[in-house]
Amino acid sequence: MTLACIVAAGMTKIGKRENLSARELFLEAFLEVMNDTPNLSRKDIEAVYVGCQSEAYDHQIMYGSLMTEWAGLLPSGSMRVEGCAASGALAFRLAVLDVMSGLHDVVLAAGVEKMSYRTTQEVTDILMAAADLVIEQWNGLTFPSIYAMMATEHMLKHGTTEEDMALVAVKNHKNAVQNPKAHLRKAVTVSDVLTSRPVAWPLKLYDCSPISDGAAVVVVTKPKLARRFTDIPVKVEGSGLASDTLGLYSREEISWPSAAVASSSEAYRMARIRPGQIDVAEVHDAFTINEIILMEALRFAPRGQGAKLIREGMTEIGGKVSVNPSGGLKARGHPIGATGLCQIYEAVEQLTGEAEKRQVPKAEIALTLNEGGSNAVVCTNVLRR
Amino acid sequence: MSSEDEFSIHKFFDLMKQGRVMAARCEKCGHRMVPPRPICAKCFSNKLSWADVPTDGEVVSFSEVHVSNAAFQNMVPYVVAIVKHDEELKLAGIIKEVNREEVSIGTKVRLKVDSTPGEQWPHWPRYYYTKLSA
Repeated sequence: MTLACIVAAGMTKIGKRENLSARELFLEAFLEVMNDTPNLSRKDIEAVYVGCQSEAYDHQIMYGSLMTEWAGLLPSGSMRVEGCAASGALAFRLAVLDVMSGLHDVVLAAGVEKMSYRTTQEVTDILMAAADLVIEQWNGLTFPSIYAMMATEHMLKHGTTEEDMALVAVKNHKNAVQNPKAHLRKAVTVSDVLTSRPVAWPLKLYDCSPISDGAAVVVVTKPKLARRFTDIPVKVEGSGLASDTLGLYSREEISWPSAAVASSSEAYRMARIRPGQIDVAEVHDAFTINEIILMEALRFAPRGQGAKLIREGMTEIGGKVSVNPSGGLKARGHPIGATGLCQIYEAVEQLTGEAEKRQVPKAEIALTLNEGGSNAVVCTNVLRR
Repeated sequence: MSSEDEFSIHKFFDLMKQGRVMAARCEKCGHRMVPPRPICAKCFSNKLSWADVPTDGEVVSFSEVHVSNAAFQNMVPYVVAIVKHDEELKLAGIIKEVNREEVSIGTKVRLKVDSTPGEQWPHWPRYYYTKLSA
């Protein structure tokens, strides 16, 4: 059963957007939707859901009201939703549930983050808020070090190497070169990655996603209304949401993301598809190791063998499954609260054949996986053209 | 302190000031929790007692932090680890006075409490690890 349809999507250029604040970034993405969708008028949009990680970047909360005001959608109901880096997918999920409930016909899901006001040390601290306060934050565990510990275990248990992780960066940077809206449009080599400065061993600078500004929005409607707005609606066929312990330290196996497994299983089941049917996947490569781990959670590779796909080029554009054709969080950029919707924006571009030089041939079924904390909340969506 | 907050995080740090890192142990099913909780996370019983966390453990995984926040930046690079104290209890913390080449998965470490009086958080009260010589 089709849960809902996406009839329009917009995204800012991602990067260090020096002269623009969060509200202006949101407006840029929203106006793209309004300009590209002549049959959509502001009065059609009945509710607004906004994903945003933290007020620590710019001392602003109430993004629901603010974005609704800036879009010219007052007095539509609105709310901000937070699940750290999964905030965008959570906003999207609420939009889908809203139209599924029958409450509204047309709703807007948005995500936004303005991070570059802050120094790297400050951003490190703001992101640490997503780790367990008592045991992790108070003991100096940064987010790169939390994912680094997943990497250390994966390397020992499964033979994954620093070179394998570097290959993820090489692929995603290469894809970003073809994405005019990407943050890091620069090809890198394995040696560039391996010799970049350490952030949290074994992760180096080029294993980590950048500090980005950006916003993305999508318009979600009931299936029967979709063709009023577009000739190529994108159907939401499955949506899974799952949680895990906030602290990585208390997991049974730290490099096995149970919530990603549960969330994707739910999405596959709802969409009645097998992992092998996915043509294109936008997954949460906040750190290179996580793309490798997620290949296993999504059942694109057997457990422990995630690195094999990147070694054999199977996740390149046009490969067995094209993974992160946008450049991913790694190179398209990672404006935290916007990322989940940036992923959906890319899936829509791919499924509607608008992805130009990074177009995945014959893309019919797409998957997005967005997570917050250390795989502590994971939302997976299956989309179909 | 009232009995309701006996198994609180506040009490956990009070005990740490006295040099002890302790878990809340469920009297009914034996499950232990660090940090403590007011009810058992497994069977939801509120019959709890305090139990010392075994001081020795082994490294489950680790990293070496080079970029941190303001509270910890003056310590970089420092080694963080997830440590298994027994089949049930795991904690995360800093292993002091080592570099990452001296640590691997399985390295034996000992839990210690910083008892420097007068110091403010994040330096005190807190626990940390030291490497045990082979």
